[in-house]
Amino acid sequence: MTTDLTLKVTRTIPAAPERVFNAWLDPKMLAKFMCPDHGMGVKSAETDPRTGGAYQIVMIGQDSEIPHWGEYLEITPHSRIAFTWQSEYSIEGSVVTLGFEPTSGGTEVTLTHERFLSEEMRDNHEKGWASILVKLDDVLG
Amino acid sequence: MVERIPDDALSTVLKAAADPTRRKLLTILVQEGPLRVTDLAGRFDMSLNAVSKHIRVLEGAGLVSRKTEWREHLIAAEMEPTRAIDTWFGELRSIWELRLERLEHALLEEDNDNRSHAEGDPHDPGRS
Repeated sequence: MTTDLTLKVTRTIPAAPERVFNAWLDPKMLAKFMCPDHGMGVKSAETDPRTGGAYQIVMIGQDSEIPHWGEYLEITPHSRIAFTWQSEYSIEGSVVTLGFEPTSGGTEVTLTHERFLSEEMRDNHEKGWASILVKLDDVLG
Repeated sequence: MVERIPDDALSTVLKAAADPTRRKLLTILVQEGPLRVTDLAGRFDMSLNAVSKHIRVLEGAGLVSRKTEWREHLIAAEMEPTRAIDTWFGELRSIWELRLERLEHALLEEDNDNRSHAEGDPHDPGRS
């Protein structure tokens, strides 16, 4: 049995939807923004931007390489991209969906990351959150 | 001096900043610079003793320091400990949020590059 766990993030970027959309399929741009952690970087990025095409992004940590890979499920020019998202740390598959909506300020990007977790993993996750909330209570109470 | 583990330091800072009077004290000190305890106390509808207690809590968290200038004892805001809060919030924020922020910067950088290339172009009709 699986349970969905969804994370949603939105941001308005002051650029036309076409540019923001293309950035997600362009290896050079992906290399610039996919690895925001300090002390980390992107070693290589490759994309085959068509439905059913594959991509791979290899990130580098302190002294290890962390490959991320997946398949494009949907590429609808300038409005929607969906791809599977996997790394050696992701135990089960997940899907990232991007929506690009033109606004007066540029483009509203809506990113949804869905993970399909087993019941057991979800329980562990909830335990993790419960202990964080208890700690917060201690700190602020 | 005993070196505290970072989590302890963060809890102390959060506890100190959790009180509205103490946040107001910090805001005043950041905006106006170092002030005397009596000046600070004058801004609040409470006793000098009560305000002093709040200042001591902030001092314990490293959020304010005491200094002497021209025989005046002044209280000054110290921003360094707030970095621990920044770091903590940074960790809480989703990595995807950071990626979107980075993407925006990358696109803006591209704009700037294009602009500076255009300015430096010898064939630019505006320059020839």
